[in-house]
Amino acid sequence: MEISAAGQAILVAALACAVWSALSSGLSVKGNDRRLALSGERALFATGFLILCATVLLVYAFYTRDFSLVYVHGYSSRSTSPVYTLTALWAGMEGSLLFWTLLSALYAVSAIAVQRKRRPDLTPVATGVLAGIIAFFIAVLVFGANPFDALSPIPGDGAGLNPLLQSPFMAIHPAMLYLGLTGFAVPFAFAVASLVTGRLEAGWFTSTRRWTVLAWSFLTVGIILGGAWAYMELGWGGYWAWDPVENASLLPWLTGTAFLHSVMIQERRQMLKIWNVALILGTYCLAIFGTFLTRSGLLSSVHTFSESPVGKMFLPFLAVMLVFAFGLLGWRYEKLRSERHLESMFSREAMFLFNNLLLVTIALTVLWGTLYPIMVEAVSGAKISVGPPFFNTVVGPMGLALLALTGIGPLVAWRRASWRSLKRELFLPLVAGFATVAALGFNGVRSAGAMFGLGLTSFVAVATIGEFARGARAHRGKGLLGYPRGLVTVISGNRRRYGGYIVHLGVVLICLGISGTAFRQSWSGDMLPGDSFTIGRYEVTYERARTFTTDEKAVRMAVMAISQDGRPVRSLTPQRNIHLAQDQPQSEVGLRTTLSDDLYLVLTQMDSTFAVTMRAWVNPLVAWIWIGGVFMALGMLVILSGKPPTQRGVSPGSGRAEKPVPVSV
Amino acid sequence: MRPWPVAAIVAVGGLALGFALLSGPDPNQVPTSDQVANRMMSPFCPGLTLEECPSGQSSRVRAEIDRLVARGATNAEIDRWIVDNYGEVALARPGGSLAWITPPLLAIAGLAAVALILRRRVKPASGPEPVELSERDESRFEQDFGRFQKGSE
Repeated sequence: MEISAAGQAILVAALACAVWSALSSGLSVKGNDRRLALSGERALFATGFLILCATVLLVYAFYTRDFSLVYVHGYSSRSTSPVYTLTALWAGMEGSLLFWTLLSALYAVSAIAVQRKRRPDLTPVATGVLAGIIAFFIAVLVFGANPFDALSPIPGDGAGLNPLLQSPFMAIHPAMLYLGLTGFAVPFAFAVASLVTGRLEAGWFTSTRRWTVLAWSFLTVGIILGGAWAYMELGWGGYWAWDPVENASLLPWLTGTAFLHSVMIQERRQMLKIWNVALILGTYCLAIFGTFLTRSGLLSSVHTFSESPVGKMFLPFLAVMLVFAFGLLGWRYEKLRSERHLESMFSREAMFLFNNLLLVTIALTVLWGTLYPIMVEAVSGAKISVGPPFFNTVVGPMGLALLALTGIGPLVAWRRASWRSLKRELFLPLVAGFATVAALGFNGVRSAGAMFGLGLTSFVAVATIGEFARGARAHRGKGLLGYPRGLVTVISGNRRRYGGYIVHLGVVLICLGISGTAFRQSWSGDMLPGDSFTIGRYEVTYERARTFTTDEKAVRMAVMAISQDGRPVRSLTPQRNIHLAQDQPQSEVGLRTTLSDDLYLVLTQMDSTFAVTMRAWVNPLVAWIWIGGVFMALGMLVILSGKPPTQRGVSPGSGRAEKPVPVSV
Repeated sequence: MRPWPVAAIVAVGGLALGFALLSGPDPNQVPTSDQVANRMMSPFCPGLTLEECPSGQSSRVRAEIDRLVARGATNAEIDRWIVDNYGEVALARPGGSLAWITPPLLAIAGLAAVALILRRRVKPASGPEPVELSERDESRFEQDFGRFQKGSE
């Protein structure tokens, strides 16, 4: 049997299983029919298995260089390395959708397998919702973007993988992003289930908290890796361009972050129930919106796939999701209203409320800026751009306010904070913040943004480290190792809380790295061998050119001697290569990274006389962004390493809260 | 502190900030080449400003901008030059006031919603004022609480 026919048959069978799962699960709710519900669950498991088979088949086609498939021919060649042969799976529209469907199915199967015993009251609806989502994606694969489309006559070699995608970061970044975006389907499905069944107590999110944290963690790592890829591969000296596709991944991250904070208010105080449901529904809708944006051909970006009919299929699906989810929310509005009250504006709850306000306003602003050019073009036909100056100007101040809250929030007590304790807790962080601003001022820094950003960074860093110090002091043992032991004890004793603080420290370090942008320096010009230029503390000399050809590319390399503060350091070799299979030029950056700054060289062009056009940047503090990313990942691991949350007061199967649910912070 | 006056002050501040942002750079000022390159979208690199675009063609546009700046062209003149040569799509700062005013309005609407929640829901607690713990008591509490949490995990 041909691989194309086999793949198509598997996809059609998977579609049938997913549709049956959605229908039977949905119907089982009405008559409380356990047999139908069970059938729905089994059909969902079968769907997951079939999608796994389809993915394995496509990967097999890649490794056997089966160019009878249009997709395999388009994204690999005989010379593609084994690693990039695997990552070619998600390099194009069709394969990436199959990969998305696989991850959605794996999340769905694992969530339902775990929750069917714990929450049998919610799983039938959740199964139906998850199966419905997966059915849509399989339908897109079958009718709009089939990775098993056959090619005839069969060519001897493939077109090869886009050289920009042949990077270790690009091998991991999309997978992480997809793991994040698809993971939000689980809390989305359980939130819908709680609305449909009327089981509106905290159970739906404590049951799915691990999936939510896991999805958010993957999305965070995916976004940071995307920045690293852009920085090291695209050769424009930056890591975030406010590109529509970058924005599309940021939107669910912002609302997901808001949810992870505000959900604590519901756990502690049984408040903001409507808001929390709305946030998680919105988060997954934004994840789907991002997928639509990337595949619709509406926007031009280095990340987008080519224009296809797939975009048109996403729009009605997104509309149905929004109407269905928020219609349910409206229907249950009265039941979700909280009877509890905030007791003070100076309470942890109020801080979370302001944190949510900022996160959601930033998300809406980014959404607005992303869609504004499309709206203007639709209304007036004029083509306009909304670029970094807009986002930096508008989002920057809100981001700084959010950073301030990251420091203040944990210091404020639940219910009510006393001024006296607040002043005591804030004293050291404020001293650190003002001292930083003063030190910058004395050193001639006049950029208000940098002073404010770095001052706040110090403030939040000291506030967060203070939390660790207080905990370690309270748990300290005797002797030299008393404090470190206390620190380990306090972190392992409350992994969610202290894992969260480690994530906050990561955010602080990322903000430190971003603040460095204010001190960025750039240089560009034409050079002949022997020419030099000075940028920041570096002197860069164009020593000689090297040109050679490999099987894959024609390499043009400039050997640049670098001296730092008058002292020679290692040479950098920025390259301008032509990938032969695709006839595509690509820059390889010359990069020297230190904790204080990066020297970043890009060879823009080299002619036959070895005259080059060179661009150079000194990017201060960028390394801290990646270190911050590692801290965030560590913090998430600490959170996830804790025991799964138990919802005390909810009897298994009943889904009814018998008393307020005490859950650790 | 009552939430409404605070919300009103922040709302007025937000609107003022919105209008300030809208105004953009002084049209009569002569910018630096870097400033122009940072607010011009590259015609050669989708989604990137001219400053960020690594394309060789962008260097020629930059050289042209260098010449304009050296001749003393103002922000308004340079923006006009950009639109004449590359279209309005090459301006990274959107010109319409709606683009700039909407985010502060969103923030104000959100703030009003929070103020409403606080006004409706902030009720003074019926219990006594929070008691200030001494360092020693706080340390003991943290220790006991840590032991309790370890036991309950």
